[in-house]
Amino acid sequence: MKKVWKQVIAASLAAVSAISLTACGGSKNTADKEGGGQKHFSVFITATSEEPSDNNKILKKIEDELGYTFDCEYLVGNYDEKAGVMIAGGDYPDIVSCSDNKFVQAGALVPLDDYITPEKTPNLYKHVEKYWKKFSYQEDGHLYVIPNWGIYDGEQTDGVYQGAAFWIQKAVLADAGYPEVKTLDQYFKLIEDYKAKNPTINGVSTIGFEILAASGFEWVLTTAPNYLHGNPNNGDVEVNPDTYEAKIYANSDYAKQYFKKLNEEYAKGIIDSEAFTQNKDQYISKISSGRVLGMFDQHWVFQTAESSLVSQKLYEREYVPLPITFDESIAPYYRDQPVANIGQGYGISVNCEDPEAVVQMFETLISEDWQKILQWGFEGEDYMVNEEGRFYRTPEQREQQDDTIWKSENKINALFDNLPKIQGQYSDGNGASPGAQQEEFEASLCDYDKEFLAKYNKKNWFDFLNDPPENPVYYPAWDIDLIDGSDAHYANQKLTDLATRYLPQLIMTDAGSFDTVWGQYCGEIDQLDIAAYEKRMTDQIKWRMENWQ
Amino acid sequence: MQLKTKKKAAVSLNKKTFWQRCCEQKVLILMSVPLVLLKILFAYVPLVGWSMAFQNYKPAKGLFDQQWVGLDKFKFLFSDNVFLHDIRNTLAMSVINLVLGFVTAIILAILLNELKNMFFKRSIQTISYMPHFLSWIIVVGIVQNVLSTDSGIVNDLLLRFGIINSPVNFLGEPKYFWGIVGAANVWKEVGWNTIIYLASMSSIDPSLYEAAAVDGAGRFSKMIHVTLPAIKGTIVILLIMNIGHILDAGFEVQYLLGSGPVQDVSETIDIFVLKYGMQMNDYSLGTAAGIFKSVISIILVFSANWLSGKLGEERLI
Repeated sequence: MKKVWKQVIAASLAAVSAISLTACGGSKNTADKEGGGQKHFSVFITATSEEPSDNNKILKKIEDELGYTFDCEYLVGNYDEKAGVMIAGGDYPDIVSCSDNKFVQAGALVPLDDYITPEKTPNLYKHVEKYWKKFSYQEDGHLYVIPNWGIYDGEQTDGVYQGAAFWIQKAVLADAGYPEVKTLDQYFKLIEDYKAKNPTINGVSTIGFEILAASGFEWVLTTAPNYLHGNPNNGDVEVNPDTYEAKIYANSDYAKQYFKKLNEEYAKGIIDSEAFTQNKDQYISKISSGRVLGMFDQHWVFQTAESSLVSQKLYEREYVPLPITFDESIAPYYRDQPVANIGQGYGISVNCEDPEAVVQMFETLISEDWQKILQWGFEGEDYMVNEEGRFYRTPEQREQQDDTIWKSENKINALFDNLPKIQGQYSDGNGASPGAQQEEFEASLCDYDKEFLAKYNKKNWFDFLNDPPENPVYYPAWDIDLIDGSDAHYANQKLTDLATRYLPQLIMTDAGSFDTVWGQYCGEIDQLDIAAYEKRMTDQIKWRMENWQ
Repeated sequence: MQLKTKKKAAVSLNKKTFWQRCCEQKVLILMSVPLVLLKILFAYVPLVGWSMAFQNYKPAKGLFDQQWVGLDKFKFLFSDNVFLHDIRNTLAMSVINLVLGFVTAIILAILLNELKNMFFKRSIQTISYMPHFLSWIIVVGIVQNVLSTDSGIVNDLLLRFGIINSPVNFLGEPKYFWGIVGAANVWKEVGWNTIIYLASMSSIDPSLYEAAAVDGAGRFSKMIHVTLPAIKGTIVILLIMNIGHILDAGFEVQYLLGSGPVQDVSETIDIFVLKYGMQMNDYSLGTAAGIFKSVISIILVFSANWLSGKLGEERLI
């Protein structure tokens, strides 16, 4: 009897420990307290950018001048699972990367209202003041997470678009004579033609269209029809602009239209047959090889693959975002006005011994001097200043930015990603980052890109997208908190499960049985408690309309 | 009357001897106390956590400040199609693994046992048990490469021999999934599993083989009539032990190899626990599924044990 218990328990423990092996980071060397407060922080990082190496020069400068050191733990795999394991064990590092309200709901974070005040942290306070109410946790009105991106000083001048689009290789457009692409049909026509002409790229077979549907990234597969239909980034729902009713579109006619198109393209051999069984690393490595002609995705997901293409000098294999729709009568709404993400950024965990010290660290790092170091680098080493005080980089300084190894030694992008930061312009008028400095952006383009943009008569990659209209007050709906364990949450999870099960079938099935599979898919969706999900979304959208005006 | 006293005396004598025996063995008993305590601490105390299954557990609060919901979580579990599928998948893959694991290991062990060239035998043995030391993540990587539609060796061979016209997407087709998991398991574990059978074969009295040879038994007859019966006890014991694990169809291989299109056949109970317990923060539901699994495992072990006793074989407990 005992033996059995032991085996059963050992087996379940083994299963849990197998997935949480890396969860036990954060040995707390509550370092020297001489400078007042904690100096060594353990950090959980979810960013996909390159990890800083041990001999990183910015980390060294921070340690030398401020005394701060970091013990970073990077996310591998699914964020929700990792967060769940951390919550189950109550085992949090000092600083936690949040992507949603999960940690807040679990009571894992310290409310920051008492720490961020005009007296104690003037810079940080000024940074979040305007959005304080919006960022506070709805249930108790406290602020838990310091927002990471989307708070702009001055105007948005970045040259690189990070959002959703149908991406296409520059070579495909160049080969077709730099056409304007407006519709889904035109998009696939270009890809088909190019693939027919170039069955292999760099010795490996060409993949026409790639799809990511791996765990945690199912939305890459499911949200595309929404954009093609001219809706903004509202996640799984379409929001009626007049009544603010939210409605799922998974079983809509336009979703069907999109998957029908993919089904046809699959039959033509345009879509990667392994698309649905690959994980995200395999997806990234396929894109990095330059053999993928196009995909629908948000740029930040595959950005590392693009950096890799640049470091291989495969400029023509980089991608251009296209705001395509089903037909030309539909106005695209891909690019939006910058919005600050709710619940995304660093939070301070209840295990942190000295939250005050962490907030002070953020306060120091958001000062303009440190922001310049974090975003531009060291003056004279990573960038230059001309007589008018404008920042610029020499060609060598630009080129080293393409080297991922150099970046891991000289930038701290992974850590920086969730830090509160200045975007737009500094008080001296310089762009917050090299990408936001228009003349630097232009100068940093390689010859291929310069020529490419000239052919299209555009200044930067943003210009390929639609002009962003004013965002609706509630926008975006995708970050609405569904409350863990609620009916809405279950309905949403089941909807995702159905999508990952049926959509691949729909796409890969022969044309004759498409309608049957679609019927099954819709039938299964009807059995879910979609009403609960839609109600939660609608209620929250209305709540936002009332409280965010 | 006389008889009664006699009986009483016997009882008291027995009782006395029990306590006496305890006294005699008090050192041994003392020595075992720490181990028993350890067992209680690590095997029984955590069972308090099972109460989570009857609550609507929310992390930030203590275990006993929770809202009690009775059997709600179990009701949800058994009304959920996904969970029922997961039970089916777990059982199916487990039985496949069990049968394949046993048959292949026994066959390989018998074949190895017949080898006379020691160098060759040792090499085969080493090569065949090496994969056991690879972690699943590596094995899954190899499986994915081998079965890839894009220059995977299996598709490549099938195409060259003209058996298929276009590459088969093995990992995206639900019908192949169980087979792939079974084959991967065999590849990884077959060599390792033979060790215990080989050990048991080495203890067979050579005179049995000689006697069989005198009776005119050939090689195959010897395998069937001497080797197999001699290791029958080992086989049965291993079978009973493995039946306790029948709901542990594995977690890593299905988790790593599974994907959207095959989720209907790839998800096991362990993955369900991970998905609902961890990913969706419904720790109560995860615990309920875990309890179900443990209870079934215990029932299975006892039935196997009882059956084995009935069949006149050795019993584990």
